[in-house]
Amino acid sequence: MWRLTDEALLAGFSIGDADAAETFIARFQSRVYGVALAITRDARLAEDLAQEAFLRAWRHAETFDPRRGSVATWLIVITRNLAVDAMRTQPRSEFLDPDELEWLSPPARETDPADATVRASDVDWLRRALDDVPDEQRRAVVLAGILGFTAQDVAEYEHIPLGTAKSRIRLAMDKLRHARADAEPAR
Amino acid sequence: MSTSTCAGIRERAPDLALGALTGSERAEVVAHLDGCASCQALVGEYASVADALLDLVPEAEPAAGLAPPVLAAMQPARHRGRRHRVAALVAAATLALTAASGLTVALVARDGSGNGSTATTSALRSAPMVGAGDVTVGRVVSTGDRRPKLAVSVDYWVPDGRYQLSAADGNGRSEPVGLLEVAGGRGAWTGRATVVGRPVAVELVDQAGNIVCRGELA
Repeated sequence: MWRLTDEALLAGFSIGDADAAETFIARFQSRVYGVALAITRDARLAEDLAQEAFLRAWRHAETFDPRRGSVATWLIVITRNLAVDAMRTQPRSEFLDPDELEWLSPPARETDPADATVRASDVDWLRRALDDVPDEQRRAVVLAGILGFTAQDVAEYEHIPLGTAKSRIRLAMDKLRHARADAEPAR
Repeated sequence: MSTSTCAGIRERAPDLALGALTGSERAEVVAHLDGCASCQALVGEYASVADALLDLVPEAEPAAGLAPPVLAAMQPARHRGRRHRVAALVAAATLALTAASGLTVALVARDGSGNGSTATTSALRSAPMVGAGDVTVGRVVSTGDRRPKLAVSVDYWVPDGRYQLSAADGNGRSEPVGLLEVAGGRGAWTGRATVVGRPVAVELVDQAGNIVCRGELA
């Protein structure tokens, strides 16, 4: 059966086509809601944010540039930014702690093929690479990359000087960049 | 340190990819990237890592499907499209006129119903704080429908100092809601409006009474 590309669905969604909109939302809602929920840890707020993310995608579809990344990435970044904005009204203690994120753990070496998904295998290299990064660097890059913290935010959250926060982020990102390059042939 | 050299950019490329730079830092780096293909390529590599980090987040299913509320929110906007576009043009012209004349910026609902263009059931609203020349200098976020909590942050262009924050609703009421202190180019404030039930605009006003930037919550 035909499966429309993400770009084609987005085009239909952007002009308000109801069928395209329903399919587009169905295709991405679990990822969008997942990101909103992971950052806010509030199911109701996460639903609001996920709805708002789709509405923004509909309104600003013309800003999607396929040269810069996939539709999914574009949509997830919209969601992440909305969730980060929403969390600005919350005290820092409400943020999740990077050490609590079990899904950052590397995959077991012997996984059940039935459980494997294409997306999971795409980022296994990253989980393994993160596992090799020193704890404090991993925390810094997760705070910045997933929770949207600036280096200054990381410094305040971790009670460390700004320069130290920046160093940790850079060191971690360098290691992850090299890990990605090493994994490239296998992906 | 200056980031205008490739060495400086390489140092900040990871932060740029992660969105961890402040507005002024980001502007400086992006200006360099416009004319430097090798730095662009490097930032692209870091950006791929940053994108992959978000791919780690597990999927989750919302309790109810998201399509019905999103489609419902799209519907009225589609029907009132022409009226909305006209109202938006009027709003833009009004803002330009008042800004140019130095008058207090008028409150302009973004459509005839005063509901704003968001057309969503969400209690969450956010908007850029915009200064002169349409420069985005920060962000305002509002959560909750009744006595919503407000969070205002600025990280670009606003000179250091103490500023009055005022919030206004769509019925002509406004109130000072707090003081925002900008230090080192950054400042943030959170709190609630007490008089204004549902703010549609938040303004940062300097000690001379000038509106420095404004956020319009849809």
